[in-house]
Amino acid sequence: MTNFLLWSVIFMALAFDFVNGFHDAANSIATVVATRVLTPIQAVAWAAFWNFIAFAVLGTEVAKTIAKGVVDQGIISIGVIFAALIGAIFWNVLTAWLGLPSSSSHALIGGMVGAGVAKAGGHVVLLDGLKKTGVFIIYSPMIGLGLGLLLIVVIMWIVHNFKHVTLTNKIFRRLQLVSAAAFSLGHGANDAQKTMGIILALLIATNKVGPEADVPLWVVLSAHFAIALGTMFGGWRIVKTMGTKLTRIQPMGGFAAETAAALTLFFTSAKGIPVSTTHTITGAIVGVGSVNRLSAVRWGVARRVLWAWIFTIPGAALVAAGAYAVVAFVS
Amino acid sequence: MWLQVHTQSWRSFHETGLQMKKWWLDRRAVIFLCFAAVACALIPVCPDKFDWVGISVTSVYVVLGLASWLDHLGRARSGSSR
Repeated sequence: MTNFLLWSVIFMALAFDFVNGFHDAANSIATVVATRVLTPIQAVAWAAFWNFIAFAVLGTEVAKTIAKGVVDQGIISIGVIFAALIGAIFWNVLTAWLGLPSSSSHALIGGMVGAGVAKAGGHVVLLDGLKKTGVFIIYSPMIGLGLGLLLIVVIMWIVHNFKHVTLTNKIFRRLQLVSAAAFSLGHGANDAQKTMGIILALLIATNKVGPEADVPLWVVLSAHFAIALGTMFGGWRIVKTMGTKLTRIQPMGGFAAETAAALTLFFTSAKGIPVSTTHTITGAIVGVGSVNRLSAVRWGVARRVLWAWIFTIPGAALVAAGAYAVVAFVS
Repeated sequence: MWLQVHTQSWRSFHETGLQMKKWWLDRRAVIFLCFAAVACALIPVCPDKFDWVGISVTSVYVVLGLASWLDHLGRARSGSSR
């Protein structure tokens, strides 16, 4: 029975990862589609490939933070992880319905905190891990914004004497392939690792691996496979819509924003900090847009991101706590 | 007569105000400096090994804020206000 429950919750975690890939594919490749460098299907395959390859490049530090750095390992059980996933999924669906660009990562962390506190009280929350995540909720889009702005200024400074506008655009359209690949790599590394962390926590809780164990290879591969599969299956629909709606994308700006966001994700993944890939790319796009004037920035979107920052962790925590209460009542 | 003098002085005061605003207020610089303040306020909450990230983000936004303000000032001086 325990094994059946364990595998069911692992499957649920991989499904969460699949949906993450499904939703976030558009972030990395919408600009490549909009500038017609690749067709939607080619772009999605490109992103999925780099999502999957990420396991070989950026390690598993984020997974360890999720598994061992959010709540005390001693209280984690199948019921806690199940309630955490329910909290995160419910919060994602609710915010998608409300049109708030919330982060799956923050929802997952909020879910773990809520379920953990519901099971054993506030002392099980590991403040260091939570502080690291909480501070970088705000720092990561700020780093993305700053890097985006600096990159576009440097690029403009380099190309401003270059007279061949068509050739410049052609070069940056090609370079966008590289920046989109880098962003997909960062996305795969940071987001797939959250699922790995959840599965690792489950395996430790059920004594399938030791408390100091690294993430098993099958977990790494299945998490990357799930996010890549999500990108392949659902991404192209969203990309097609975004790619045709975003009519004023300049290849140079797209390249700068994706590169800035990718650099931010590489840094945070290497340091084991779970961040929102959506918020990071939003910050980078705002940075690139603000090089001309602030009216070029869609402040409405930035305001919605701010609300999502504030409410995601407490909201998901509340739902997960409720879900855990139901689990405890039933079992 | 009094009303005319009063209106003129008000108009001149208003124009000086607008001129000052054109020279001194730059929304982008203000926003970047606010970001710097937020980043700085988060440094004490940051785990010790990431203090340098908070300090770097704060410094970058102070520089960006000052650069934006200087850029705005330069544009206002050359008469091409945004």
